[in-house]
Amino acid sequence: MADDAVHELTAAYALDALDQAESRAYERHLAHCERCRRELATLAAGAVALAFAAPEAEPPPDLRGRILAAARAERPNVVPLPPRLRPTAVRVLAVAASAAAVGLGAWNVVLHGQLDRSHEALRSVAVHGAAGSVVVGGGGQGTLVLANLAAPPAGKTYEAWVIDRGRAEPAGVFAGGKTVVVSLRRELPRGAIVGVTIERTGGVRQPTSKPIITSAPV
Amino acid sequence: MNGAMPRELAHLSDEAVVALAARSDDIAFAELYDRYGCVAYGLALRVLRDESLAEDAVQEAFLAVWRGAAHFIPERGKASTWILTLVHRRAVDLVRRENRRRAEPLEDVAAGAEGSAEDVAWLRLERERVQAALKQLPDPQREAIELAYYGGFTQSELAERLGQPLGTVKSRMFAGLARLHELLDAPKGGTWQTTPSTS
Repeated sequence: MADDAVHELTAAYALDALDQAESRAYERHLAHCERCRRELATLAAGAVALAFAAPEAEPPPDLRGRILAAARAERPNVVPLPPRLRPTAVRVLAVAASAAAVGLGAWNVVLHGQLDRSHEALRSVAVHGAAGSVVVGGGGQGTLVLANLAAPPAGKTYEAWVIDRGRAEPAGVFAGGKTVVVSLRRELPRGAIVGVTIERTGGVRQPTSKPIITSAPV
Repeated sequence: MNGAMPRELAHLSDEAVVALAARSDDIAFAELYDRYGCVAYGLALRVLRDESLAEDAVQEAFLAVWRGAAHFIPERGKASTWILTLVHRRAVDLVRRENRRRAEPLEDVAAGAEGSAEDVAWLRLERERVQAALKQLPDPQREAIELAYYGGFTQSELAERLGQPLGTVKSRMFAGLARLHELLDAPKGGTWQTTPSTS
């Protein structure tokens, strides 16, 4: 199919209105067409709105249980912890090295303190919503490291939270920057996550919005 | 869902819940169902017009979410778009296989959806918002996108059914979706905008 013709398939693809052959051709095209990817993001958002306009209907109450049981049967719920031994330590050291390269005194102190105690207990988990990670020491002390964080709006601050079992505990306020290192004021229980919201300057006791940045469970 | 149990993840964004589900967290997976199960089922039933097929479509789509959560890329679009796209695709696959396509609107099956009062209220608000936006589209555009999306027709079948050239159908679908997105994309109150640092 000529490229020009494929470009014109974006709306139909977003509506699932292509036959199989057209759909495959479009997907192949999409892999190397930035313009269509951008266009598809917009049109797919329009198409999915139609899902919300469908008449209200109540799913049978047992459907939820059936779906959860099928999911568990496929992939048993193993506690998802990152490997705690060498590969992670190596990654943490790499992060530390790049942080040290830009002269981050606080980060070095925190990291060395943890490394001295027990470096194999040190591990990092990914964060979502910004580039960075949470580094967790063996005793549950955590450090949030973020890169290229825009300054918060005037009169606002970033606030970190340790979220565990549905409760959010304030864990420190901070500003943006090229590399941001936050020593969390709360210990991180196993399975907790770290979240970041934007709050009024000085911070608040409870988050006022959904976190814009969240970590994987530690 | 069990109404007596607080939803521990209720404060997290959809994208964060998908990230948890990617780590085999079945509580996070259940949270996704609690957020989108009703919309998913309503959509599947609208397309398939058969309760048992609609259940199959929802189940298969949610299992695809469970399997694919680790590969979800938030930069490419919202988690809700991803989930409901999977549901729609599955429903359309089934309707084409079963050859059950119809274009007539379906009466509301039941009021009083499952879920918390806030969820139900939000869904109703969202439905009214989208329906109001749809009413603002020119009829030919609205007809093209509704027939394609709810009817499960391919663009060629649509052209035939509407007695229009394929090119006309394509441009109506494009214009309709683009306009719908524009009408619905007006920023809602309360969202944070992080401004780039000027220092």
